[in-house]
Amino acid sequence: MVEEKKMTLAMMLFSAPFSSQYADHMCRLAEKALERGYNVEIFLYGDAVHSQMNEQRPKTFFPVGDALGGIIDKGAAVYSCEICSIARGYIKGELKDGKKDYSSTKVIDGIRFCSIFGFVEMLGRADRVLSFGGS
Amino acid sequence: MAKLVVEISHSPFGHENAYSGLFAAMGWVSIGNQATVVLRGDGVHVARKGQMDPLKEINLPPTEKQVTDILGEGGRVVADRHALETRGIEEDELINGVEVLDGDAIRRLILEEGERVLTF
Amino acid sequence: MLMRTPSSEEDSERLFCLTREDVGQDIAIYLLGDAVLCARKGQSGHHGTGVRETLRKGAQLRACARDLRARGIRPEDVESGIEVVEDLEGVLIEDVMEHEGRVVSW
Repeated sequence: MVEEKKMTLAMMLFSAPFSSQYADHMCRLAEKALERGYNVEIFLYGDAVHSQMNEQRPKTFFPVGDALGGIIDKGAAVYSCEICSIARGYIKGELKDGKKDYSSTKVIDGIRFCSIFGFVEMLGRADRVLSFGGS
Repeated sequence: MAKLVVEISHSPFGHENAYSGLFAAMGWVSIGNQATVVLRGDGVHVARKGQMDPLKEINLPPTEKQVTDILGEGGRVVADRHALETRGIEEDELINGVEVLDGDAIRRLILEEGERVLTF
Repeated sequence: MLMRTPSSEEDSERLFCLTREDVGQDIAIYLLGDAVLCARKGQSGHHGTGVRETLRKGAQLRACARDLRARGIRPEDVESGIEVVEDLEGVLIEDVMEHEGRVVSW
């Protein structure tokens, strides 16, 4: 039996959590897409990489960290810009034994780091693209 | 060829929107795809030539070079005519290769080329 | 998909530009977050033109019920012709994924 290929929704987030609602909108839409059986891939770009910080404990804001963790658990691929993450102190990024050292104790489990080329490859795979926080 | 439209409505350099959008467009064209950068609102300042070493002055990447590189790889960079006019930017101030389009043409471009659209 | 309000006439032109084409009936605009403020009746200048033109062109306008309630906008305050949707995100995902066409988000 041939399995029907699932459509993929790619989402780019360009705003930090909490200072605006863009991350909230993205997470809600990602959850809906996953519920409906679509593949979801997310790229955190610029200040949006702050969404990857673990141990976020917002008292009253939309819990972006928990939402992202949940989205990863449900099968979404969440990529984060490595240059933006290095700049903001999340990962080392230096070469160690020939490989980039992305070790960090600061980020949510399951976040994957990539360059801008990883992002454009993700865009190439996508059937649809939504953009959050840039405009 | 797969198509991407990158709309930029922020000027360089007060926000990182402009150079971030240009990096994405450059990445896309460098792997053999088709990108159109659409400059609107304050984003039309990206089209102006004559930046004087922003990397040295303010530690930020020269968007002028990014535009030239995107054009060199076959990408398109278009600027909204009305936005240029209201900001007093003349066509001879623009980076060579940047196209000026009116609102109707930009609208049609987004509908025709916008298989994927990123807004910065 | 709109997630903010226009800040000027130029910005309004930009955010609502796609409805200027005579394909208005093939366009749907989803108002999420602060963009639901565009749905309020009685706005003038760049605050109201975008929505009114969009409706006049026959495009569909849908506003998120949750975001309207949060901002104190009652159903009777919403511009006539705008559909208030409880699960706007669900509808949006279905429309985006299952219909051919262009998607632009601001």
